[in-house]
Amino acid sequence: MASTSMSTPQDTRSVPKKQGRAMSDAWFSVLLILPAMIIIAFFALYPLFYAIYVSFQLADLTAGGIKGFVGLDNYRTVLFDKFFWESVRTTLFFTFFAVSIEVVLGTFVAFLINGATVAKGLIRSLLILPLATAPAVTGLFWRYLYDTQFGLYNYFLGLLGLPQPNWLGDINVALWAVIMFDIWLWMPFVALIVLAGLQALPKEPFEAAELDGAPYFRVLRKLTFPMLKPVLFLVIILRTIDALRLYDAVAVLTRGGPGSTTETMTYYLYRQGLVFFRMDYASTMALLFLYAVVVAALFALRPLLNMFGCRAAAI
Amino acid sequence: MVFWQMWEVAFQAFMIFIGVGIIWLRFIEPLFPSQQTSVILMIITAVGLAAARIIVGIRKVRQERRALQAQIATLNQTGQEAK
Amino acid sequence: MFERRSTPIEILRYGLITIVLLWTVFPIAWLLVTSLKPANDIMVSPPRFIFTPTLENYVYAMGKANFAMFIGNTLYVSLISTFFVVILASLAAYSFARYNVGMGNILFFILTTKMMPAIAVVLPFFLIFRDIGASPIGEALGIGLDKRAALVISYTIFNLPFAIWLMVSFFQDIPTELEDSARLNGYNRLQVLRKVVLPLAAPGIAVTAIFCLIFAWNEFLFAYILTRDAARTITVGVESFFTLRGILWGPVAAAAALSVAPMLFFVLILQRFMVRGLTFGAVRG
Repeated sequence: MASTSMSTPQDTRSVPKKQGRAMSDAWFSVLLILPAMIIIAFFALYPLFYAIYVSFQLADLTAGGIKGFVGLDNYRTVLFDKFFWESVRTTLFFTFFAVSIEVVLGTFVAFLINGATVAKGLIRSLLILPLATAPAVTGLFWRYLYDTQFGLYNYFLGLLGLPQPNWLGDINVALWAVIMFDIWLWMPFVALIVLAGLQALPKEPFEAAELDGAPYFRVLRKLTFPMLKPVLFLVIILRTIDALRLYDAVAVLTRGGPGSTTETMTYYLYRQGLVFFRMDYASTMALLFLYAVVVAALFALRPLLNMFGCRAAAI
Repeated sequence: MVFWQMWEVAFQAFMIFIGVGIIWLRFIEPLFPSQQTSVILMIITAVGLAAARIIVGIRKVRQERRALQAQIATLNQTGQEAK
Repeated sequence: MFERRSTPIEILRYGLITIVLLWTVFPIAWLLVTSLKPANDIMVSPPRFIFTPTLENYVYAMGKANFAMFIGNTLYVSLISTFFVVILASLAAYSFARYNVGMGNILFFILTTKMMPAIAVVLPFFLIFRDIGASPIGEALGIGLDKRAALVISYTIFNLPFAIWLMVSFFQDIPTELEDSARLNGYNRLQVLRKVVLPLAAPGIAVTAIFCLIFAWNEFLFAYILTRDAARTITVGVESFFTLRGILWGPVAAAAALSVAPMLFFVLILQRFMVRGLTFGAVRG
């Protein structure tokens, strides 16, 4: 930006005439990001270090707080904790099924909408609605919908002559009830994003394919999906990261129950830290959780950013 | 650019260090009679693998730099020949 | 795409779309319906669709159950945290967009902080705020557990990465020629920012602000863990209708409707920007 040699400023108040520049571009740019970065760094890193500190201590808040260095014992306890690994299994199970169903259904719906000629705006407006709600609030109301006596779901199932499960009470069904809620909440999200991706695709290849008389499914396979790959990948990543951290729905729908069948990692962590007040275990688990997420992010983000042409992935 | 490359390598080495520790604590430590020896061996292994990652990283950076310099050299040569 | 318009397929298409839309909208609709039902019509089996609407649930929620205070807390916390986020994020985003500080690596780091499981942050926050609240500084500033300031701080941090990323995409949409010509005309960088960029970026900033507002409004985990009675927000407060007598679904529905309605309104305004917002600016829907 060459502005050291300035033409006469029209606004006489504009530039204080110092020697050369008042501040170089580099300093200016750093100054701008400084407040935000300080906050992010401080409040992201300080809890991290605090958690690391606590994870090496004995920290039972009911027994007087943080005291006593115990080395790696907390890690040993957590790594051999049956319930911890149960919660990991539950989280992975939930993530796998919720995300895959959401993505498949959402993509299907996106294709449906993309081919529609009327009311696209209305359709999109309606699809957005679940996303505007707080999962904790609507999730709570879904308890009423899932009710075996008064709930609408079992009522409709009864009308159709289908079995009426005990959605939130049956240990085999409860996790699927949570999955169904998550699908209701996020399938529109997937649909909208894939729809945007579809609408952004260039028209020429498809027109050429149509002129060549290519069959619909061949076009889908060879043309549409390869071009949609970045968007699909982005959507899968976004949903997976959020699904791994599931808490709201579990907290209001099932509270981890029945038993511990819907206890996701976040919920188990919350229970350890704020119900049993074992902050040492909770901090340790949180760190392990964080480690897993960072590793996953490292593997997933690089190709993602590459696909979107970001410079950050230049290495 | 060089700073960020080094940061990348260092961060990955750090993650490896921790990862080895985690896996060791879960699977390998029960095989040891004495906790102390296990911890010492764990630290040695973890540091070792992390250092390996750093060495590999430095080697790659050096290779790239050499390749880049070779490219520049050939460009200079063709430039000179063109004169 | 393929323009083979055969009527049976079109009927099937719109039929499926209608089913999807019904399924999507129906729980929210039923929520609104239930909130207007008198108590006797709610806990009945089979469910009753015809009833005389009443506002008694809303009256009960706002009055007896103190829900109005929760709404006030949520409003306060969301607005103030959004205000801080917008200021900090627009400065930083401008810098990232125009000067590419840190070659994209700092941006990448910011994105990874967004991926952190919130629980890993909230538990230390709990301990930290507990300590601050007990200290004299905390008491003087009004920061601590169950204080609104704790949530304001938390939501600012929570939304900052997202806001930066989203605004970077908006700033990148603004052509640089205007700024360049302003510089050539003698304005310094701050003036360019103030007089040229910010007015142009205002829609993008507004959109980001609304997204942050929605996220803060709907947030549950931080609110649940960091508040108890005084600073409780609506997402936590909806649960307060679970009494020993049983769940008062009428007031729950009313409270839920009150919590959800403002955001439904905002989202419909934002409809055009939804995709961009939800993908952190990556997909320009």
